[in-house]
Amino acid sequence: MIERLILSRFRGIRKGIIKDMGKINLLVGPNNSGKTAILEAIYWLSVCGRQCGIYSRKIPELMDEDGLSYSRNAFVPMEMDLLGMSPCPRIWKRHGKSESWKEAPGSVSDDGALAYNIPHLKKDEFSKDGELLKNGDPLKIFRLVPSPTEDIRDVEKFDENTLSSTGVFVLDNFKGADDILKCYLPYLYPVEFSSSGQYRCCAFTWYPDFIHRGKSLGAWGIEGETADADCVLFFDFHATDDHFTKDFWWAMRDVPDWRNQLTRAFGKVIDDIGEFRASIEPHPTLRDMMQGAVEIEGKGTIPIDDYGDGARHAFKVLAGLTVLADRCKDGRNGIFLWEDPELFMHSKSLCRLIKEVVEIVKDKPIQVFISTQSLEVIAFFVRILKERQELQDKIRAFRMKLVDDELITANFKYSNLDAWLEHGLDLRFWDQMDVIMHYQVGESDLEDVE
Amino acid sequence: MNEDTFIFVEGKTEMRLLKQMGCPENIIVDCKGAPNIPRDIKRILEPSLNNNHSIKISIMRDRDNKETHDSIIQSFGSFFDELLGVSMPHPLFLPHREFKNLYTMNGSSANFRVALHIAAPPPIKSIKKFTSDTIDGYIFALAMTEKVLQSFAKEAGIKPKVLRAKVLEEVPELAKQNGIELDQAKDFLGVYMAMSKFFTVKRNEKMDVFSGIVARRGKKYETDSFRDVFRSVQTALQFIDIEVNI
Repeated sequence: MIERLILSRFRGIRKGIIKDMGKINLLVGPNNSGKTAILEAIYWLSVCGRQCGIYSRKIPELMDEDGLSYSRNAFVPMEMDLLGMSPCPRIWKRHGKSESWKEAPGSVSDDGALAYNIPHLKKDEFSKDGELLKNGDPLKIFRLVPSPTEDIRDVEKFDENTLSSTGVFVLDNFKGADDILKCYLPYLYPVEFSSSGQYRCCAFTWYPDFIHRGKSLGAWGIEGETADADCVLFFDFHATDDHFTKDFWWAMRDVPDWRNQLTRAFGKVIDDIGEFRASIEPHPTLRDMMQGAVEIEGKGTIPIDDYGDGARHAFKVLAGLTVLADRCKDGRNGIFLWEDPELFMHSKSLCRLIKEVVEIVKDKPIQVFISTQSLEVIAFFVRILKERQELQDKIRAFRMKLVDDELITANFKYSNLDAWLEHGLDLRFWDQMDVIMHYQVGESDLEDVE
Repeated sequence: MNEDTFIFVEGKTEMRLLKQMGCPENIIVDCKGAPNIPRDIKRILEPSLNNNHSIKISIMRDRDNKETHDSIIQSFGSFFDELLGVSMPHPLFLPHREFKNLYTMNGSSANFRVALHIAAPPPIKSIKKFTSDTIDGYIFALAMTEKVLQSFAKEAGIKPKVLRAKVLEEVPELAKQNGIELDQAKDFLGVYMAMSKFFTVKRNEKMDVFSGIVARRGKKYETDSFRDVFRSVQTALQFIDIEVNI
């Protein structure tokens, strides 16, 4: 489980730390407080499961003991995430960017490595005599080298497609990487990393629009166990509109009894469909896409996209979660990132959906991160956990705010959330006097007509 | 600056009163009894501690029968010692130079500020001191001012002096003759409500609603008295940067 997240120059966040994360984490705060950035940071870092080496002449320490010019402690994103989408392009698209980064500052070498020269980073400075005067950025020039294992070398080779769909890599071994970490996590490394001996890794992005003010590199690290790269489900609001990919469908078919599981879960959330069976069918017009559907006796098969947005949302969330929950066994950890679950949802279905999500993840090694603008979402979690004492210490809510682009957080545990809600306080606001709608149900004074 | 500002009160009467004073409702925490105040302060402020937040709170406390100001201050002092620990050292409560029932703690370096207001209602002629100092005492004092009394008497169809006599003398005397000592402001408010036929006139039996109406009428008709009676409350709120209009 990720316990700590440390960010430097990632998107709108100049620096920030979130500590003491729980199994279920609610990210709460005003617009532009960094909620989505955190989901994206965790997503990108967690889907980096494709092993490679990193080589930079500035960091000879990264060479391995045999003197080979790479180390094995780097990872780039998997080709596809759990939903069958390419991780970097998916995130770029969310921000209105092209899915293919044609201007990526690198090239593919003959041996299938990605060779980068990041234009905005500082070069080494030399005297006229060729003497090194000042060191440039340690990752100004670097190469990501395919996995060295001979028998899979061909398979792992990078190509032009990798180049245009990659903007992040992860280092999971900090040995010999101090210069990099100090440079790209200024003031944060090593001071904000605990010395608990937990697993830790750090991601770096050179995608300009994701670097705070376009300076240096975006960098962020985690402590604690992260997920297996193919056990990361990021359900954002686009996912409600998107159809299922074929890759996701194949993953779904690997889940024993998936149809009954999905039927049962969806039926608990949307209860006015009658007797039905969940199914996933080829899309009638879009090649390579699949479509959720419900088979109702006497009515035939109705595509889920013919239903309202709330039903579509619930169906697709639960379908993704069914696959994730099945994968998270035999020591495999998962992460479920859920952006604004309240979108499209009526209060009743939302409460049921949250309840079902809690039921699915509670006994699985799945860590949940939810961004929300809704006090109802927070209240539903508290209400559900009120009856589930064994889960109460597993929830955290992080009230977030950016001050001078520094992420400020306040960590709410169950008892804090319970107290705030009980007293009608609203943790979405930083200054309670700004609150427009007061949720406390009070008795109004009688009309005092004299 | 990240600020958390809250007012912790014992009950609904304080909420009604503060509302009438123009205090934002959603920063008032009804702890439902004095013993719950420390617990609620802890549960609500915990997330903001150790995060470089500025915390400003006011505590509105009654003085119960067996308590003294010293015992209340000592109790809150120990509570804050435990809550803040060594990470956030805080100074002691100091008595306010103008109001003897107001104590402040100003840990400016630690961004932590507390105003502890202990109820000290004005005395009422012809009633010996109540056994407890409560916010109800303030409400009762306000209810006995001339114009507020007039408004309630008029609604009940009786003369103000009749209402005054019933509340202050006749009913308490009758009770005393029957072995019942009315010695709390709340007892007298109950008599006031009954004698002014509040339950039937307003079709409501809740004392805090009555208190809210008293406060509203006090503010409207007895502006000077209202201001005088609640100046220490106003000062407690100003200490945590809340300006109220009285």
